[in-house]
Amino acid sequence: MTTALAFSRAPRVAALPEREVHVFRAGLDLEEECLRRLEKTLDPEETSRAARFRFPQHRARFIAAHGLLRSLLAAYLGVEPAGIGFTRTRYGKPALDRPPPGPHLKFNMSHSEGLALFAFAWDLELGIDLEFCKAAFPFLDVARDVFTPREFERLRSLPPGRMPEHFFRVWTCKEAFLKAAGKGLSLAPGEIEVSLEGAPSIRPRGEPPAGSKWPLFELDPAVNYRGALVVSENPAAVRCYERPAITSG
Amino acid sequence: MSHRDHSPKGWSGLGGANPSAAETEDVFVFPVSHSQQRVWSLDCLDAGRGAFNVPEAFRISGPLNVPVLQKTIDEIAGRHEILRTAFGSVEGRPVQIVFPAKPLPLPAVDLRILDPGKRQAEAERLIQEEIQTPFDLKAGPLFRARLLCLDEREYILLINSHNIITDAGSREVFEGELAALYQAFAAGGRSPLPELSIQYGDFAEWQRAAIQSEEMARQLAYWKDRLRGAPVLQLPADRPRPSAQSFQGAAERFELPASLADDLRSLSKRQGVTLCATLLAAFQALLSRYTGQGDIVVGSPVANRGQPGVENLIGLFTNTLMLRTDLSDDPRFSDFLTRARETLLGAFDNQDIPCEMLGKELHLEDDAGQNPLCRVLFVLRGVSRSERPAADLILSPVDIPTRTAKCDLTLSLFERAEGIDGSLNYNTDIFDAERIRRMATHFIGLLEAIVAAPHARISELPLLTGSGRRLPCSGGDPAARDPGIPPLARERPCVPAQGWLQLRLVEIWEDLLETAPIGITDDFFELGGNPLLASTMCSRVEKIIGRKLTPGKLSSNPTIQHLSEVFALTNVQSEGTKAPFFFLHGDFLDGGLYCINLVRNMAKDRPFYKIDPHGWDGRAMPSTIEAMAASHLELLLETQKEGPYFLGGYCNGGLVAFEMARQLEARGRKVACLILVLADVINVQFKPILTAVTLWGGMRRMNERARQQLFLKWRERLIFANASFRYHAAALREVLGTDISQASFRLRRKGGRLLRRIGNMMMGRPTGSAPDAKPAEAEIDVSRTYREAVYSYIPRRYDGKVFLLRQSEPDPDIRSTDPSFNWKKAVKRLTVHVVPGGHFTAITVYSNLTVLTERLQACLDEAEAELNAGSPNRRGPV
Repeated sequence: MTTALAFSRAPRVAALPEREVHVFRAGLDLEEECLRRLEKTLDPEETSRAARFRFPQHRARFIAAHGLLRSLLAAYLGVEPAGIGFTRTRYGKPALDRPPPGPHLKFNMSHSEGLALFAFAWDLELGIDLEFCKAAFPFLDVARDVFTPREFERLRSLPPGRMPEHFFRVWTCKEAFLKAAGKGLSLAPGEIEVSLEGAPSIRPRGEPPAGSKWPLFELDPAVNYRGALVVSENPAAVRCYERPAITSG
Repeated sequence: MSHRDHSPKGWSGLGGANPSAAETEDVFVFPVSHSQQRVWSLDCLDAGRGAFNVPEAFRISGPLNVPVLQKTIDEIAGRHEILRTAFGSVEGRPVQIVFPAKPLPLPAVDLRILDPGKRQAEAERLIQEEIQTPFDLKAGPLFRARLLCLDEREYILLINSHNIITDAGSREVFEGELAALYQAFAAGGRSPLPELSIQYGDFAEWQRAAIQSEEMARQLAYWKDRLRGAPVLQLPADRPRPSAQSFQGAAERFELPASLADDLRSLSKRQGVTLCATLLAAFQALLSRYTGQGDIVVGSPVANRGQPGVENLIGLFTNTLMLRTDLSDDPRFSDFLTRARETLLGAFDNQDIPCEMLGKELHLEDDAGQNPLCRVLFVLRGVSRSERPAADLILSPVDIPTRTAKCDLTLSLFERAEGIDGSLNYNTDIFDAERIRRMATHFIGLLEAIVAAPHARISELPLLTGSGRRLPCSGGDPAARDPGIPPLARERPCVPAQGWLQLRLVEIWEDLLETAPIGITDDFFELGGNPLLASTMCSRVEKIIGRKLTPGKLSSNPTIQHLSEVFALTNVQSEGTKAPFFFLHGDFLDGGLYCINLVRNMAKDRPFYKIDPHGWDGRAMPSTIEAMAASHLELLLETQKEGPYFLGGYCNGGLVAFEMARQLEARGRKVACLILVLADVINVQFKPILTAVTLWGGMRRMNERARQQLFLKWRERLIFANASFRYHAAALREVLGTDISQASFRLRRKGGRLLRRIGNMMMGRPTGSAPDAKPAEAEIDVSRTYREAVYSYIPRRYDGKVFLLRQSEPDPDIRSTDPSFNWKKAVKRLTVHVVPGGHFTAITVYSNLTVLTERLQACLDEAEAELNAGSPNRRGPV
């Protein structure tokens, strides 16, 4: 927990140096007006997906998350939010469509309840996950299916009071890895091993821990939330910010 | 420490006590009991909100003599030292301090000064005020009484005590003494009550000593073993638990009608268990359905007044037993009842060891010092209180609404003369009223299902039955949903679930996604699902339905409709790079469990998939082999897009596999291997009838089903002995090992039904038209549909290679000496192997199954070799 990264105030300028990862945190329960402005920047596919949610709250949060993603990307790219085109890799991971020549801006997003995290870097594959820590939750049942045997035993050995937090730490690390690796569902969560003793590390099962190729960072986004970030190479720095204000336009 | 220590040295926290009194009068000091210790530490967390107040109110009707009442209460307070006890600490440990008896104030409030219409409301307000006024544990007494006068002959006596000195049993003691003493004093007599042989302090001392005893060590060992690895119940809640407990709560009342209560009592009797065991088992089954957990622990407070002299005492004796029962193997409820009974018996035999001590010894307590295994409680009490006379008065209990909760959820059931009252007391920090209300409805529904089908498996019991069942989707009527949500432009119609599998999925989804109704075409993620909920759902599905589901499968099949299709195809063995083998196991009753034994002895070089026959999940099914094959083919092609295909099937599954192979070839796909296991063509000899019926049906424009029925009717008329009779007779012969003579022709019609009944009885399934025959009816329908499908199937020509594994024992259904057993008319390249056993025993007897497996493997290997020889440069299957 001492290694979990905390969030600071939004930077004044949208500047993303090479080999740095920037992570933004944003609340998704926005005011009507702000939501409407963001909604206007979405493309038809996003709009129709939004429309299919049963709960208006989920719909609103979807619009907020995707609208904010666009506005953050737009700031880095120097373009209009509505002008950004998305595509998906073979495994369904979102990416920029027809990016301009030069370094590629990579990104990943995760949201849970009313909070979202966005990660950005040039040419580094990213995976980020955020989870609200539910208290009444069948940890052991889910862990039995999703954790490796060693992770499961570690969880089970903890006193009941410590289980929820540990579960969500491991869970977010795994999800972040799966998203970073971008292999979709061909990689099962039980195939990767998370170790939280000492410096947190993550690797596909069977690989030696020393050769861990996937730097893992735990994030401390808010009370009762856990977050994790996985990067394809060791970044020069990981900076975590509150999101900047959305400028009208 | 002697309890008659007069020295005030070393005491602290005697804030309310008068130091000079301590010097001149006798105060007695005792250790606290384990339960008191626990309440003492919890009380510190209460922050003066009165969560540990135990109020009680009596309505007194009649000419009350107030001084006599005062005398009565003083007498009670004098008799029971606990009512004059406060708590302090000595060297950091809590102790109880008994003060000398003195008159107890009985403040009276005269409400007659108010308008008659306002008196009740004011009384209620005063009651609430009293309830919320906390006690100071350090200053006694922890017992207060108040008298409210509503009218000349109408009073309310309000008693408030702190939990540390009272429990449910104490209330009964108090009521009894109140009535008896008032009666005696009103008549001018003396107390009729016997002298108390011991006091609570003595009990506490006894308990301290008894902890060291062998008996306690034995009980500790029992619980250590019993509770090893016990999981914490993960009830779905509306909010996360706050770090500071507020003890705020509410209660949801409900009723089990007299008829249901009677049914439950007679069921309990028939099963040789107590009503308590039945209700406990039902509650644990409900919790299991909610949580998806199979190992359920609930706490249950017991009176624990077994020690001599204790039964007449007021004081905190209640002990909470942790009742753990396992239902992870999805037993029949009737079997589970036996387990619940065992749990109760064992618990009662070991009830003396204090729960708090167990919590410490077994390291059950969490950071906050609470025992998470006791977060959910189950209480069954005897006949609830009613009126009681005392002299010329009538005392009757007054219901006080519950505003506190000491744990997450307590189910209390009160047996009355007719019916059973129920109450769910819940922690409002984490639960909303709506969820608890639903739980009460589910509990009643579950009980109704249990009395209707006590032999059903727990996963099969519906939570909503009879009057409680709401139509999940009222024909796509958007008004059936929350009227506060305006229907969106792309509103999908709500398609209702069909069959037990889809119904189970709907239940699971509705609970996890907290919305209803859910139709089978609704997308999990559009309903608010996320990866964590997806994983939770997969765990639940595995527990409740017994099928493995991964979030990946869900992503490609995000609706219940898709999932229920996909479930029919199960991967039994996933290793190997050769083309997968798809086996239609033909078992529409048990889901093809024998396939697990099959794969055990097979090479792990080829994935093995089993395909369930239609109808196994209760949904409508096709009625012809051709239609079944077409439906399965879609599933097959989704899983393996390119040939060559390896197919096989047993019994009806064999015929469907044959038809699938034929349809694949007709589509230009390659089938490398087709293995028919004990699949017979029964009626090739009736081909002329089929031709006639087809022509006739065509002329009359009959649909496929009608033609099938007509064919069957004529076929039946032409058979000398009913094939159905022989089929079942053969089956029964195998099961019973007896020979059933075919002599009785009259038995022919009845025979079928009779044999079916006997067969069902042998296999422990419900028979006849008893209320619990509902599941059996569904089985018979599916079975009849298969029989008709099989009897009306005549295989068309197939040019591929076919392996036929035939039973060694002759089948009386086949009136033919054809060595190819009627397949040669359709199949040119047929290889016949014989396997030991009869139609069922070739699969059910393990030694036979082993031989069958070897044969199966040999056929697969032969087909593989032929395939490789034929096209050496062939690309591997995708």
